[in-house]
Amino acid sequence: MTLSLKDFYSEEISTFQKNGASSALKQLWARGNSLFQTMEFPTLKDEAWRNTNIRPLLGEAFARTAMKEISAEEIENTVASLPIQEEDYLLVTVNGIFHPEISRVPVIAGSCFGGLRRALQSEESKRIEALLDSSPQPKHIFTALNEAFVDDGIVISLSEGVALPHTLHVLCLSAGGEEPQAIHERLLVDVGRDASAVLAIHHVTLDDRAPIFKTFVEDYRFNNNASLTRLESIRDSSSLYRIGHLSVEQKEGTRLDSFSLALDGAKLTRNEIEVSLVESDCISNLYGLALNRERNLLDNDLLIHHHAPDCESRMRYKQMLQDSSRGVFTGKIHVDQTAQKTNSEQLSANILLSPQARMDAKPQLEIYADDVRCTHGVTVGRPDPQLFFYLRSRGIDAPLATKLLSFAFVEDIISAIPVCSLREWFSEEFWKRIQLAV
Amino acid sequence: MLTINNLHASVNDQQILKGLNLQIGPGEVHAIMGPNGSGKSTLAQILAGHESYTVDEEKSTVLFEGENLLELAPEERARKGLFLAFQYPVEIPGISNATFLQTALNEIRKSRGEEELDALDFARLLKEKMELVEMPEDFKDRFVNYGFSGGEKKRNEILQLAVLEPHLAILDETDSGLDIDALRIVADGVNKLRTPQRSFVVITHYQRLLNYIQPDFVHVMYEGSLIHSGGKELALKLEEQGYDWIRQADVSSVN
Ligand SMILES: Nc1ncnc2c1ncn2[C@@H]1O[C@H](COP(=O)(O)OP(=O)(O)OP(=O)(O)O)[C@@H](O)[C@H]1O
Ligand SMILES: [Mg+2]
Repeated sequence: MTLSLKDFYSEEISTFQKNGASSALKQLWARGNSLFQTMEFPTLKDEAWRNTNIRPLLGEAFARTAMKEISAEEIENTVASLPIQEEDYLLVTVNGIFHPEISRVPVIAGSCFGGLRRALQSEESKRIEALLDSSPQPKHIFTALNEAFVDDGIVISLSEGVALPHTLHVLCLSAGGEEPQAIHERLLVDVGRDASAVLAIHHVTLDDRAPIFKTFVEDYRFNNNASLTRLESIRDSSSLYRIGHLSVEQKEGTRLDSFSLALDGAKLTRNEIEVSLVESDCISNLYGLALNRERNLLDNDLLIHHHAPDCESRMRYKQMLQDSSRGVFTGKIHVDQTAQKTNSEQLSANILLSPQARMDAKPQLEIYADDVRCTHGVTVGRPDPQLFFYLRSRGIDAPLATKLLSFAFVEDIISAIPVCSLREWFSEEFWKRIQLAV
Repeated sequence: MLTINNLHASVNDQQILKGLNLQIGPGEVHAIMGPNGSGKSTLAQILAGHESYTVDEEKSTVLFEGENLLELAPEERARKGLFLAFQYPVEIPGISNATFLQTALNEIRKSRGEEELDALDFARLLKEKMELVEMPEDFKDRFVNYGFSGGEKKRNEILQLAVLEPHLAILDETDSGLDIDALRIVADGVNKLRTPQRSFVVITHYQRLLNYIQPDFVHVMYEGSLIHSGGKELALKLEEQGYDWIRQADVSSVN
């Protein structure tokens, strides 16, 4: 079964790679393809996929999406449903292809925003090629597939000292069709020395009649003293399978605040983040929040690797699990011997709102330096009965008390969002869903 | 208002209340005193509807304004006008005091067919009630009891009482942990909330509170029942002589 599936994707790759492209892209394709050939689909026997059953994803042959037309009206409605202010920037992709005509692209000399293919033909092409050349090598077969199929995607390259004055939104629309389809999408972000920005990525699924297999690979480079707030809102459909991989490399004095906020989950989501703190005095904060429903599975697999001294990192991930949903959290902190004075905090807090829901969470700390402070905690439970009784004793009935306590549970993550309009939007969206779900 | 007859209750098969009787009329203030572990908080929690306690419903009856209280869920009791100020109020990080109180008040109002208060009307009401218990304004935006000092938590319970305007309020050791000024503020607050209809049960270890909140009756709880009752002078006698003399009288009356 897996063998024939691999043959199917090999065929797809060789057809796709007959297309024309710049040499940098072709190199990436070649690497993706050759890794794909040598790799196998993971099974439950693989340690890294032990709690993540991907068999449904392997039971279907997903053909690469054809170009998809989406009506202007539908796009406008989607944009209107998002916390995008008039002055904000907007880059839109449909099934991984950049659409300049519906985007509001910032114009800043020396910086580059927009589609990957165009960027490779622009004045900035040398820089972008260099970034592509040094992109991290795929570690498993799904990211190899992504690389073999990179068609376009988004490039954001901020030149030295630029502080982007407004939020930059990236809207990634996934539109399926009548047959199972695969979408492979790429985001490349390079934050120049002393540059800063707020980036909000919105995933929205539009047409989900047939299953969609989506891979999304993000690659972030931080030059000295750069800082970035990254927010991700996910509104997937339960006929979607999402494999995401985000890699981050931080140089000296840089700061990342990342928020992964899953409003509507996919049937299967594997969310990998790999942060490398390669130089000193960095801060890396990873926050995550999800309301998991139905029979969906959300697997967060995070790694922060401290190579250099005096860095601070934090993972704070929370899941609320409804129905028969499942959650997985693996939080790896790796502290090299050279990374003295590391300060790292990890929390995975989860509430089970139904007896059928299940959560597997585990911290994995590997610490080779002696002068460090690393804390970690995992909680899996139900809403605290003491709090529950307190609310009821004030006239609030059990269903409403559960909703309020669920909202209280997510409040700390939402209130950490630094942009007011985005914070309020997420707060409302979570509250809406809690009211429907609980 | 409240009639308790032969109340028997246990937790984990351990009998705690053993035939407790109490009758409270409208506007009355009843104080309950008694040694640690005698069952005072248990009584308060059972009246509020806490589910860890098993009430022996064959023996016990509890009528609140003519209705069988034991059949009602905790929120229904609150909506009918029962309020418990907890001995140990819990902290609720993530919900602001204002949101919590507005939700509670509106749930109670809705259940009575009254109109809900909008944000503006509620803000006005809350401001007035916070002044009553001399609580700084920023407490409305803080999470419920979160990081409050022991005394601030108790004062917050009285704020809730003031906003929710119950018919019967049970104060479980609201005076414990209060400094002298806070004690006066809380007692003043309670006194301002006294009406000819509203009744209070005040559980306390200290006669001092009863100087501020003058009770109509004082009861002594001992091993799960009220074994002695009197007027407010009983509190003074207990303060001077402790509980031993009642215990002995109790034993001799049984003999
Ligand atoms: N949930 C419970 N589980 C086990 N035992 C309990 C529980 N609640 C009460 N008890 C026991 O019941 C007895 C009465 O407790 P209660 O808290 O009612 O006493 P109290 O009179 O309020 O004491 P204090 O003056 O110290 O507040 C105690 O022995 C206590 O340990
Ligand atoms: Mg007590």
